[in-house]
Amino acid sequence: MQTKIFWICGIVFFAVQIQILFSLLRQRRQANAENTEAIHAEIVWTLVPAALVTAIALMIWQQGPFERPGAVPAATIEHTRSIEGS
Amino acid sequence: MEAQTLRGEAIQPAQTLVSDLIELIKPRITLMVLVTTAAGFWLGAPSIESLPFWSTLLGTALIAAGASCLNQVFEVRTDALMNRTRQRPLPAGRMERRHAAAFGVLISIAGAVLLAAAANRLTAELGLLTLLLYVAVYTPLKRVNSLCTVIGAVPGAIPPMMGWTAATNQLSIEAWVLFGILFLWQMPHFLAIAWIYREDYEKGLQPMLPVRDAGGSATARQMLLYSLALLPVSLLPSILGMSTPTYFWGALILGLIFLGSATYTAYVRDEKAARILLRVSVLYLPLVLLLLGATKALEN
Repeated sequence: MQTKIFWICGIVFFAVQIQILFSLLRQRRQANAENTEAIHAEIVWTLVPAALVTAIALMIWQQGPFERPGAVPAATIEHTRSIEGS
Repeated sequence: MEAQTLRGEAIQPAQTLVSDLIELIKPRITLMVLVTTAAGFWLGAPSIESLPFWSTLLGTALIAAGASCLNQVFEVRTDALMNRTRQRPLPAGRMERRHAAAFGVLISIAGAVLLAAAANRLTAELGLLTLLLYVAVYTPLKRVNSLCTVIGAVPGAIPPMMGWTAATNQLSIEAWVLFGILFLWQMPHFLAIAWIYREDYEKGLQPMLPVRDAGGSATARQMLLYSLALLPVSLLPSILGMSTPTYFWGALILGLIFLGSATYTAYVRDEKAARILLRVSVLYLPLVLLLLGATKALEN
């Protein structure tokens, strides 16, 4: 349930982000010299949270299964169980 | 109505050197920095030992205070143009720039030395990075581009990482999750402030996003977007096992209230709504951090 809600929140964010980005790119095509700079700045504003969320996701993926500080690593628990079982 | 002297001069509230120094270090911002640092330390440490904990808080407070002080040293001219800031000690002429600069440098160095000695080198380096980004990158950019807010959010998001690294001496994923929460939270918060004071920022020649956004559509989009990004990132501590399901549901409710307030402000685009969003943002952050700490304490 929690994981589902988490993914829904993530997907809604990326959907809105992409929609805003496309709308800004459309505005840029029709922009005059005066507001081009403001649109460029807003495109960066829009890309930053996506870059941050993606970077954190990549770090989590790279790290693999999460271990809490001070927690017994999963591998150790597995090893102990296999010794106990044998 | 202001009281008048016999010569007709308005009586100003008593300004002493101490009150000026307190104003230079922006105590409310420094206090918020300390709350986030304490939360980072609390989450990272298996148990709180008082000496490293308080030394980390003091070291971080000194660097944050030094950064605020040096920021004002570089912004005397723009501060003098804005109603909100013209009575600060430097633009009001109650203190010399060189004295404020020396004070800012000294307390920053003292903070970094304390962090290196009482916590670890990594935390001291993060402290110096925060100072550098705030004073040398964010402060000059404030006069150039609205993206200064995005850059300024980086040093604003490092203090909870410093708390974490002081406790663990590691820049692990948990530290980055705390960074993410703080970074994303700051945008709706600062956009609400910039919306409320946009005329003042215009006078101070600071091109914040709402200043060059007459209809408020860009500000509205970005408030909404960053609040939406904050929601999944704020749930990560529970998803990753850093915290309990209680935290998940609490953070979800708080995040939805924050998102609701940002959506309302984005929809009506007026000062009253921006003030509500500002209040909600100021409550949201300590509550989320408290929830993180409390659920960890209950678990232990």
